[in-house]
Parts: sequence; structure tokens; C-alpha cells
Amino acid sequence: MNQILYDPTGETNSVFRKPQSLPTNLWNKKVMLFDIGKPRSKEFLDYFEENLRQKGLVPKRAAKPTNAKTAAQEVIDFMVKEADVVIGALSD
Amino acid sequence: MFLVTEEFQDAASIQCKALGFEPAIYWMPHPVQNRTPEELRQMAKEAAEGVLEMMTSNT
Amino acid sequence: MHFEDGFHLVLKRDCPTCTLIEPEIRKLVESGDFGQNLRIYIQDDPSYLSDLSQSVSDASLESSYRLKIETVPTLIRFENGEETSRSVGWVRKEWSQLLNEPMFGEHLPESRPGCGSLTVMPGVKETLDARFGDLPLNSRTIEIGEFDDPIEQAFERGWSDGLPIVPPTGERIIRMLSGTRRHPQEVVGRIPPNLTECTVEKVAINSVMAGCKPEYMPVLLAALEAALDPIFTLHGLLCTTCFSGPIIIVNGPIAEKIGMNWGINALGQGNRANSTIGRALQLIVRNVGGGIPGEIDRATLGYPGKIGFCFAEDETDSSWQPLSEAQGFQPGSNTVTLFPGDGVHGFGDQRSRTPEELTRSLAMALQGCLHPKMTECVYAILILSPEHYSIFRNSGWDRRRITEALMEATVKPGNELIRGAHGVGEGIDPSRKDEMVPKFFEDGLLVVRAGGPAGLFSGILTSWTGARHKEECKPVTKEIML
Repeated sequence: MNQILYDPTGETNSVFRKPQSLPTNLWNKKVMLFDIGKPRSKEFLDYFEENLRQKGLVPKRAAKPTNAKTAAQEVIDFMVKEADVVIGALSD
Repeated sequence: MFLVTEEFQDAASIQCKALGFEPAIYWMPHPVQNRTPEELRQMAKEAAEGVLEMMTSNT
Repeated sequence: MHFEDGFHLVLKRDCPTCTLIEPEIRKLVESGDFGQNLRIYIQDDPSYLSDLSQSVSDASLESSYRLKIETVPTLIRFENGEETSRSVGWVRKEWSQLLNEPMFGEHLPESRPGCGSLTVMPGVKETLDARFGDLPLNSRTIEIGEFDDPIEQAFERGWSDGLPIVPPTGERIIRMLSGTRRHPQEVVGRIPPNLTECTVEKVAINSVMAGCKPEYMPVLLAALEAALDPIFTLHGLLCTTCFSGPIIIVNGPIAEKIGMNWGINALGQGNRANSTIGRALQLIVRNVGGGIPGEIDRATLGYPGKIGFCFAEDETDSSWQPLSEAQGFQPGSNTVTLFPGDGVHGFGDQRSRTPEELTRSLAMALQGCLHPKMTECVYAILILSPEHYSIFRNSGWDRRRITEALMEATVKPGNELIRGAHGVGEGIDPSRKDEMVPKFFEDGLLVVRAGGPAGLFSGILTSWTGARHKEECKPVTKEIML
């Protein structure tokens, strides 16, 4: 007689959501630099921002307090409202 | 898009598949935590240029 | 299964009441009146009454299960496809009325109780429910061949944490669910990293695989809910490159009730509850949440406790305030505390004789949590063994005094801790060089008691570094609902 086992997994597969295409440049876009909360992320983004400003861009900043959690809804709402492009850093 | 170090390519791929979303990623050298400020500044400069190049090559 | 109109009689050879009425059954059959209208099911010995054409073996117990037999002999009448009457055991008046045979069993006693049906023997019901019943289980079933090894199948499907699992069969899951009153389809929460919904049923399946007993379910459910509390930050914990995993500490009478260990080798192997409850939690994270080492789990080294780490606090000394009470729960509460922690850092001091000496000695070890020069970035649990605790207790030191003394003893001058001090790059911000810097946050050191009665050895558990943002990541204590 065959044996029956029950699946211990979540039995789910996510439906793939196609992201928007990257813009072809940033100059006419609102750019947001998003600090994901890892140690040295802020320091890295300070240098990164400095470089973008030297090239004529004026990025805004957003942050979450820890890399260990997703961003609070207010932070997400802020980025959605204020940015065309969000660059999150630095995941290491 | 996200800036992620190379050591996490597998993890990023798996997490993207699990969540059903694949953002653009610019891959950076690993590690980061023990870099001197000067090294981190240089990495940021290269990353800024790399990200802009990713955009313009996306035409 | 369809039952024909007529009479259905369920017997066991191993039942004195069944053998008592056997001659009457034979007379009934020989009379010819019931020929095709009588079916006799034999639960145990297939040779019993096998000379009668009406007799069939019910060794699988399917007929008995579907007829809902609890006692043998039981006589049932079906009319128009439905059961219309039944007599349980031997009651002469009932049988003669059912059979419409006024003289049936006239030489037998008026009544005799029957014997337990094989269908209600311990452990049999769940097996029959799994085989023949409508199980309240929604999980996908996986059919494997009769000669396939289910343990190897589990390995191949990636369900295992590296150790063999107990195959999750229907009967084992049903038995596990008997350990909780919660509905199998109740959603406990979403398990990171995939944020998949986890039902009580999925908890039961993974508990079976871990080797748990049904009575562990309330503890495990409470532990899972504590782990899913946002402040515990389970997602970050399982993705980290750090060592850490969820550690479960149990308080309250339930620890003894389910046979947990807080004594000799409390953190080691050998105790089923200690070994399997933590394992079940991690199997849920793996199988339901998708937290798999090498994939989302990026621990550089990890440690053996990531298979599972669970123990009970020793509450046998009435001078000691248990962790549950220190965390704000009523005395005698059953609780779990989830701590995002690393493996045990052993501490041995066999010479300090006073509480002050022992405090200074422990402080030296506590200073090493994560790194001697890093401060306010981890929690710690000090597991005080009975012999070390007695040094404090004998001088009247309670939990509060011990904790305060240790906190004070782990404050160090900033200039010893800043980056570059002692020729070591790691450390705190150089701007703090003139401060006196505490090792831990204000509530960053927890103390529990556990361990065997002999041995001047205690243990330290360092937390995950996610705790450096102390408002974002903390240990969580939750009451166990029975």
C-alpha cells in the first residue's frame, strides 16, 4: 500500500510582478537615496550623494533604522510620493 | 534599484523569486564593513558612475 | 462504503460476551431466516466463525470504523439504506426485539456488557481517521511508494534540517493536533522570509517531523507567536551573517508537566521536549517560511543550536524570581521567552567565594559578548548554575541585586574601548573616549537559573547584533495558552 505524507511547506509560489524599466537617465527625475539601515550605509550614501551632486543631481534621502526590518509605512509613502527613482544601499 | 555586494547574489536571487519581484541591482565589491573611509569613498564614486551607466545603457 | 439492508453484527473472538452468544448466532443462521440478511464482521481472528458464509474478516477495521463501533458485540439493523436501530453488548430484550425473535437467547443471562472494540484502542483511532475518515487537513498530500523510505524522501525534498525527520503521516498529524484546542486551519501568522501563512496544521506537521509530542503544541504555538512578534525581528534574525537563532526559554508548571529539563545537561542533548520544541520552530521557519541555510540564511558560521535550542528555567529554588516574573508575568504563569541568541559561552570560576568576587569574575566574561570592545549592541542572558547562584543566595543577593551589580561591573572607560585602542580596529566611536561606557543597554542583561547541582560553571548567551537598535529588536516573553 502506498504511503501518504503531508506537505510541511508553505505550498506557495509568488506571482511575478514585472518591475518598471529603469529610466534612461536621472536628470529629469526625482532621485531618492534610501539608507537600508546597515552599519556604514549612511557613510556610503553620504559619499554617493556627494558624487551625484557633483554631476548636477539633487537627491533626497530616506532611511529605516535597522536593516533587520522592512521600512515603516510612512517611510514607504514618503518615497512613493517624493521620488521617481529610489536607490537603496548598502546591502552587504 | 539596490546596491548589493557580490557575495549576496544567490541570496538576492532566491529572495526575489520568493517574493515575485526583481528590482534592478548594481553589484558592488564585498566586503564593505572593514573598509577605510577613503576606500568607501572610492567605492561610492565608482558605484555612482556605474549606476548612471546602467541607466544610460538602458536606452 | 455501503451497507446492505438487514443485520450487521460485529464480534471479536477475544470477547467473552461474543463467545457467550455464539451458539445463539449459529442457531439463527441455521434457521435459514436471516441467510442473506445477516453479515458478521470479525475484528480479530479471521478464522473465528469462518465456517459461516455470513462471516467476513474486518481485520482492516474499515467496516467497524464506518459503522462507528465502540463495543463488541454490536448488532445493527439497516433499512432502506439507513441505520434504524442498534444494540450494544448483549441485552436479551433488545436483541429479541431487533431480530423479531421473542425466544432469542432465552437460556442466556438477561444482559452482559461487551468488550472494547479494536477501533477505540489507544492509537488506533487516529490511524483509522487517517485511512478512512474525512480529515480536517488541507495540506497537499504526497503519495510515495510502498517500498520508498519516507525519511529519505523528506531529505530529497529539502524538508530536513540535516537530521532524519519523523514522516508526517495523517495519523501522526491528527494525534499532534489533539494537543491543542485551536482549529487546524487557524492562521498563526506569516513566516518570514517568504511571509507565507502558517496554519496550526502546518505547525502540527512540522512538530511531527521534529519528533514532538502532542502536549508540546501549546508551548510551540506560543513560541511561534512570540517569534512572529515584530519586535523580535525574526526575518532579520534568520537572514543574518551572525551566528544567532531563536532560543526558547520556558517558565511555569508546564515545563515539568511536559517533562522538560532544567537540570543536569539542561542545554545539551537527551531530553525530548528540549530537543524537539526548538527544532520544530526552526523547521517551520525552513519549510513554511523558506528560511534555508545557504539561501536566505547567510550565517557565516551559525552554531549547532540553530537546529533547535530550548530549555526550561530552574524554578525549584523559592529564593529566586523566575524570568517570567521579571518580565512582568504573574507568579506561576506558563511563559516562553524568545531570545535571538548565539551558542553558549562557557564560564568557569572555581575559586571566587564571595558575591563581589564572582560578580567581577562574571563581568570579565560578559565583557566578551560579541567583542570585548563593543558596547550597547547586544543583549545577553547569564545562565547561573546552582553552585554559582548559591554564592549569591548565601549572601542574600536576589535577581535585582545580581543584575545591578553585573551591569555596574561591566562599565568601562571609553578610552579602553574606542576603535584603535589596544591596537585593535574594532571598538566604539572615538568621541566617547572620556566617557564611562556600559557594556549593555539598561535592560540588556537577563539572568536565568539552570544546570546540574554540581559544577562551578555557568553560561552566557550573547544576542544577535540586530539588537544594536534596541527599540527595534528585543527578546519577547509570551504567555502559553493551554
